[in-house]
Amino acid sequence: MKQIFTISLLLISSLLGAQNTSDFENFNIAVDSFLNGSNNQGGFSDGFLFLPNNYDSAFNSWDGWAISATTDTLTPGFMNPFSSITGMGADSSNTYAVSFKFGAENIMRLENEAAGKVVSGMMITNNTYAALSMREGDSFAKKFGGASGDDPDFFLLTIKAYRDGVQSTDSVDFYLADFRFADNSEDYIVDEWTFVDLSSLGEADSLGFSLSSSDVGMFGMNTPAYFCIDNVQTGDAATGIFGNREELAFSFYPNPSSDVIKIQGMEGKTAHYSIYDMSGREIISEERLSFDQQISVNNLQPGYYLLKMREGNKLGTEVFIKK
Amino acid sequence: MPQFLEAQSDTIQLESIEIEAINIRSNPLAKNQKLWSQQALKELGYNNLGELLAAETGSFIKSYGLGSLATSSIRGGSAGQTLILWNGLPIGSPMLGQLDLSLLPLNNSESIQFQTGGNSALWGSGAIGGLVSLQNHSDFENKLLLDVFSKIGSFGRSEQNLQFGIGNRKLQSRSKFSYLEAENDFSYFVADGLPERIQSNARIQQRSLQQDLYWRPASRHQLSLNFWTQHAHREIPPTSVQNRSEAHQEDTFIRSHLSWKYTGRKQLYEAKAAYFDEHLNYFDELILLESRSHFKTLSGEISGQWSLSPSHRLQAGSTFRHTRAWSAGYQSIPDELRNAVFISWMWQVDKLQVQSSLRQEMVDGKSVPLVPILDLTYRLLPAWSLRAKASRNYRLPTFNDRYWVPGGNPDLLPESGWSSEIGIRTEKRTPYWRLSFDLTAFNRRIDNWIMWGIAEGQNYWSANNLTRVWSRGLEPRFSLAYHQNDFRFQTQLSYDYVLSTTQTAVEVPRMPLGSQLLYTPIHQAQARISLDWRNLGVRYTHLYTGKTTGINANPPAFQLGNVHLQYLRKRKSGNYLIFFQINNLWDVDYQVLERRPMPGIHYQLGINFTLNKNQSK
Repeated sequence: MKQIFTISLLLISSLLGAQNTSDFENFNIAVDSFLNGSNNQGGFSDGFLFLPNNYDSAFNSWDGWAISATTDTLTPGFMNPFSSITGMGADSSNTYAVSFKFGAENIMRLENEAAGKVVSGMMITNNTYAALSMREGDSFAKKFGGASGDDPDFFLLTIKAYRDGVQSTDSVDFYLADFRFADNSEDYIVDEWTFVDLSSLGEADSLGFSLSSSDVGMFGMNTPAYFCIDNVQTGDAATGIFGNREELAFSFYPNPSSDVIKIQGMEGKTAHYSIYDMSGREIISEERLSFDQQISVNNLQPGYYLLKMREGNKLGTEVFIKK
Repeated sequence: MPQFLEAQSDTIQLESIEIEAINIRSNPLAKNQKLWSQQALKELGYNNLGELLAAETGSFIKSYGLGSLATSSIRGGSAGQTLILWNGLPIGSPMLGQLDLSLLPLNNSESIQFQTGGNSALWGSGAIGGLVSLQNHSDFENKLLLDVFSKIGSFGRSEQNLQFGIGNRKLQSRSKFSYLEAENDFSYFVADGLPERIQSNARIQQRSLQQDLYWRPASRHQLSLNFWTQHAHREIPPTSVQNRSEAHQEDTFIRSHLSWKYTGRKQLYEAKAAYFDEHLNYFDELILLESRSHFKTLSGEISGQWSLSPSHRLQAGSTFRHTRAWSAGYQSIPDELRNAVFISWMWQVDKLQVQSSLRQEMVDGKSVPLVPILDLTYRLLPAWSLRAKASRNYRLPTFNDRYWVPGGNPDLLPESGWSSEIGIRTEKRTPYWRLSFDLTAFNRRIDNWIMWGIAEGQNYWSANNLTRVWSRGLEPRFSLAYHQNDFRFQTQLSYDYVLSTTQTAVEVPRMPLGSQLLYTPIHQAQARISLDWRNLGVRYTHLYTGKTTGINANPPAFQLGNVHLQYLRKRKSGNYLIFFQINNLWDVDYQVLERRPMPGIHYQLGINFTLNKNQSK
């Protein structure tokens, strides 16, 4: 039992590690300015991240990643490609990163201590150009929902992990806009920074981001191929099992359990949980913690599991045993 | 009625069109052509060149909506493969390689000629699918002319045209003013069960002034000066899946054309010079976009034509065109110099007519393909004639194709390839009846077809010689007319079958090998019945446009019916014309391009009177 628990802790350490957050504030760019790679350095380093940028000085155009502190949430169109739809970074910060890649995967590299570690997650939101294009339509792209409002449109970000050039079998889907609901009032375009949990992707030395949309024509996707990220939580050296500087403290009982486990410390909070087996495979993908603060585990096979709890961008992980 | 002006050489009634010595190149005996006089154009009631070509020629007109951009696809060609001439010199934008046909008024021209097929050897770059020639002619018999033409229509449309002519047998002046405005705020359905939507931001205002001066300093010499200026303010409406648009476009140009012509007994010499100064400015305050472009073109031509014998005519000439263009989209101020020499020969004997031409063009010192034409017509039987034509044709890349940043490609090759066509025509006439049937089959392959797309590894659109296009088709035409005393009846049927397919697969835009080009219907047909009794006429036209492949969705086939009622009184001293038109009679909900709604049933009333006073005998 002791041996298994030790393995478990090592696994948690390996999966989640200690966290380093890349929030792009170190670029110290002024409000309403941006870096689009025109210095021809081929990308941007922040923490243990490297965000490649492909700048064409002949044509003054770029793709890949840009660093931005622009705040324009009102101007539609391609003249406003750097702003997030919130007008700021996550947690009201100044700076964030913008992804633009048409028809191909945009890559983020994990370097130094973060290479080969799990990326816990990141904050993601829409870019103003894309969001307003989906909301209003433009001369190239359609208004989501179409003329009737009933079209089942979507704008989907798919994130994959690569380790030693091999793609992990899993991927994480995040809908930047989803109009597929039968009830149109449920249709949404993401307009807040939203935490996307990537820990299920496992260990990685790079992440790939690709966009797809229901609005696609012969020239490819019509929806502007942009989104914004901030506060990327990479794993670094294991300075402590729960070295996350935004650690979420919670406890639960009973452990071991055969039926339900009762969470403590989350009362009155909006928390989400997910459960992994000891191979790192996601068994229950993120679900909102119910009002009665109980999680049913009776469908799980007997064994050791990781329970990951998230509130906002605070994370905590515990091991439990299913009898 | 204008239908009698259609097509074939021997049936053309040229009305007041002056024919002195016919230039081989603008030969009205050419095949597959239509020629409309100004009077015929008035009676047809169309509002711009796009509407005329769409309804009268079997061309497919890509219309972005009522009052919006319209470009042509003739015989499955691209918009840039229609050459538009004004008094013999090309007026297409060298930046875009095309003209917006919706902005070309019909009332400035004394005649408009339309011809299908490849004619690069005669007219140079762009004459691949077809040719439209806007022509101004002098009338030295005119002493005084006043022509007032007003049209009002649905969706706030109002158009006023005024022409004033004065002169003697030496000097003639004709001034032409026009003003039109339209709200184009038509309603359309976006989906079943939803309320109608009103088209917004679709207003157009257009002013045009043309001044023509003709001087005959001696009986065989004529000098002509044509000056044309036009301004169009046009709002760009939203698509059917866009909430609003604030975009608008300003098209402004000055075109001037000076020519000298010497008409000898056996010679015809001409020299022309033209200067075009044109602005196209696009604004979209909503997205903070301001895009201005401007070009200046100086072009000219000298030519000589000699009648070597009663059956032989020879023409030789040289053209030049220098263009300089400004755009925020260019990193430089590019210019281009084109020079060309051409020679044409026509031989006409008994039942056979042969016309052959050769043209060599140089662009900035580099040769483009040498292009020939061979055109044969043979009268097999008195009522049957056969014709055959083979030509090589080309289209040079535009300034935007070459210099736009990003994506312009200075190394683009011209589109070029061979076209051939054969045709048969029969015509039977009795004192009351006239029946004609014409069938043309064409075949054309164009290499190095230029398209904009996103190449692998690029983050911007770029122009490339992407594919090879094979176009082929059939064009049957049938006409039956009966004419007795004050009564006239005519019916016309035409059908266009066009396959225009890629011969190499294209990644972006996604076009597999052998796929039909975007927005190119395979089937188009027109049927018309007209009845005239004395001064009254009624005409019904039915148009069928087959389904097309679109960028985002495939626009389905649609059928439109148009009715035209008119009263026309022709007198030596002038004409009176009143007409009423019902367009889209069946109130069909349709789109030529997906996401670009078109109007349902709508109306137009036109009133024209012309007062003429000729020189005393």
